Amino acid sequence: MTVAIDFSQRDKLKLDDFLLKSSAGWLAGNQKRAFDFFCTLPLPHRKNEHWKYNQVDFLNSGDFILCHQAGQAEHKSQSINFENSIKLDFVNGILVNQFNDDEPALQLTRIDKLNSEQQALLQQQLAQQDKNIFAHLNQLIANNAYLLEVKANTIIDKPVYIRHISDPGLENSEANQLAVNALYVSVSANSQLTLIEQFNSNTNDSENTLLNLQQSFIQLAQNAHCKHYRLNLEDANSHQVSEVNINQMKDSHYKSFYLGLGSKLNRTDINLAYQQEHASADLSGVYLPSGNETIDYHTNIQHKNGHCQTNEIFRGIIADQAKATFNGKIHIFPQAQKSDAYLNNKNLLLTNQAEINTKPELEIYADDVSCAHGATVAQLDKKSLYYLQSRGIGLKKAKTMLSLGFINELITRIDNEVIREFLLSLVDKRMSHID
Amino acid sequence: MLTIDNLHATVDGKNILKGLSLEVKPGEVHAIMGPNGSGKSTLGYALSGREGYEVTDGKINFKGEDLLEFETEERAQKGLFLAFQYPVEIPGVSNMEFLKTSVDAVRSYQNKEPLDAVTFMKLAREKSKEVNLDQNFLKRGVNEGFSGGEKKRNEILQMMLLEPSLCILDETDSGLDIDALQTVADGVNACRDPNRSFIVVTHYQRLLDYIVPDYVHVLSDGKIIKTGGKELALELEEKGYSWINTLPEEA
Repeated sequence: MTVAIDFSQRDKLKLDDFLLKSSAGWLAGNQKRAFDFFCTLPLPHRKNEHWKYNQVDFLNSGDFILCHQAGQAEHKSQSINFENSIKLDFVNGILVNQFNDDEPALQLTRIDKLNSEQQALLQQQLAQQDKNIFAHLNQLIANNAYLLEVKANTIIDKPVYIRHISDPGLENSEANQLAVNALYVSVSANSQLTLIEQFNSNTNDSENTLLNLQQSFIQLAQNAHCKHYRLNLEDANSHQVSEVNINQMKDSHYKSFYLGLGSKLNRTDINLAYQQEHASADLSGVYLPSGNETIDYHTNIQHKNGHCQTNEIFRGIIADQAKATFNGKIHIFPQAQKSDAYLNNKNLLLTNQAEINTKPELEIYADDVSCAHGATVAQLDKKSLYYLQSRGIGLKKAKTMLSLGFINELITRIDNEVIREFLLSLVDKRMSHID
Repeated sequence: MLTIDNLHATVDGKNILKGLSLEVKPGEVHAIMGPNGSGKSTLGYALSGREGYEVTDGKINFKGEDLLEFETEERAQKGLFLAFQYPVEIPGVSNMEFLKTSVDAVRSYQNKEPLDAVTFMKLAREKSKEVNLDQNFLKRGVNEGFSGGEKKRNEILQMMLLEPSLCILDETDSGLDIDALQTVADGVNACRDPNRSFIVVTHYQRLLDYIVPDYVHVLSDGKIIKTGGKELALELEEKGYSWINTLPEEA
């Protein structure tokens, strides 16, 4: 199946080209719905508040060919050296390795092979999603969608390490390309999972655009715990639009760390909803765009039920002419009494051309809640720089030290030593290249 | 070691130092006393090359070189050390990392191999014991949440590790209780060496009971107006700074 999509001529698309041969009725229904929305919704535009700071003009650059071959990408990018992990590699959205299933409590199923119970689970996750045009496109192209399940009452010791690699050179395509992937994760009651998603790309030599659309859904059943690391390490020339949708039940806990280095278009929407009481989430993140890169995090935390707790801290260091956007929204519904929510975003601008658009938003419709939010934008402290210089430390090194100091607190809090050390060295390397 | 000749310096366009001259030989301890606003701290900043402290006239020769040619970090690498009156707090940068980077930078300038992490840690622990600073302070952010006394002891710790040839102590006694003063002074005295000189800037004579100077200079309105031995400090303490205004200017 070779499908070409021209975003400005969506009326020419045919649903039949997208339906999987094995599409069961429910899946075909989903695809049909997604198709209708995808073809009729307006394209993202800078005049639209939601896409105000994103460079989306490339959508009008003709056909995008859907990547459909699992190529052998050279993984030039550095990887985390876990002693033991369960690895899943996706190249241009396509699963390229064997799922090693010596962990009986863990199960991976392609979307067209789901049983009725699994279908219901997936439908439940989809129903919670606030869809935009890219999400619809992702669900229309269903062939790279998988469900990863953790059975009940199990602690998965080994981290699940997922690498997404995009490489436009693989298919020798002269046209723009589209890589699509969706991952549905379900952690059953009383279970624990550590999930790492790492994104790398190899697009710097390519003249064509490879648009990467990725969605992850994380469903946490009662008392389920998930530690989630999402590392966007794409190169400067990449385009990616992605979403993480988290759905939490009673007493569940979601703890996450997001890292974004930035690229031409690098957008992550994090949507989290408490579907029952007494759930909690701890979200933290760091973004470090430089050069002409951009980075954009939109977070939307929905306190739909009472007694839930959110702690959200994002910090950014913006170098050169880079642009960053942080939009953090916390929505407390009328019935969500005793909600406790904290949101903080701090930014460091290293140059006069660096740009940050930060917007913390609280929408509170309940009266017995504790909420706080704040955002700051600052430059490197001159007194601190002088102090370091007066001890023989050169200006460049002093700047690196202070910049690292600004985000260290969030990284050193990571309890997994292997991941922490990987991130520290990665961030250290990144900051040392910045003037 | 250090020769300052007719130094003029401005801060925010305001003249602060107005023709200061001073000669410090190896091994000597010079105390500089003077009232608020006389330019004591400005002298330290001008010597270390702080941004905003502009030298408009005069010369500073440090170990045979024109000090004004060099950036702040180069001056430090050449052996000039300024212990600050108000050391800044730098959360997120660990004190140990800061100390090691600093010592590595100075050693590298002197063409010495960097110390390996273990050796350095041992050395830092040893020295922190000497200034009575608990080892936990090495793990914390630089000066983060330190009390006034702990910050000053951390300054002395840096001085011990960097082994500079000229140490300028800017009101290191301010905000210290008697015990801390003793500790800091012990640290300084332990560093005294025939090849190392000190400029001790202070308001009060008290510190000079512990760190005995070879010379005492009185700074007023940007100039040294009187120089004497350690007994000058006692005289100042007794008569107050208003006394110096009645003194005739020395040629």
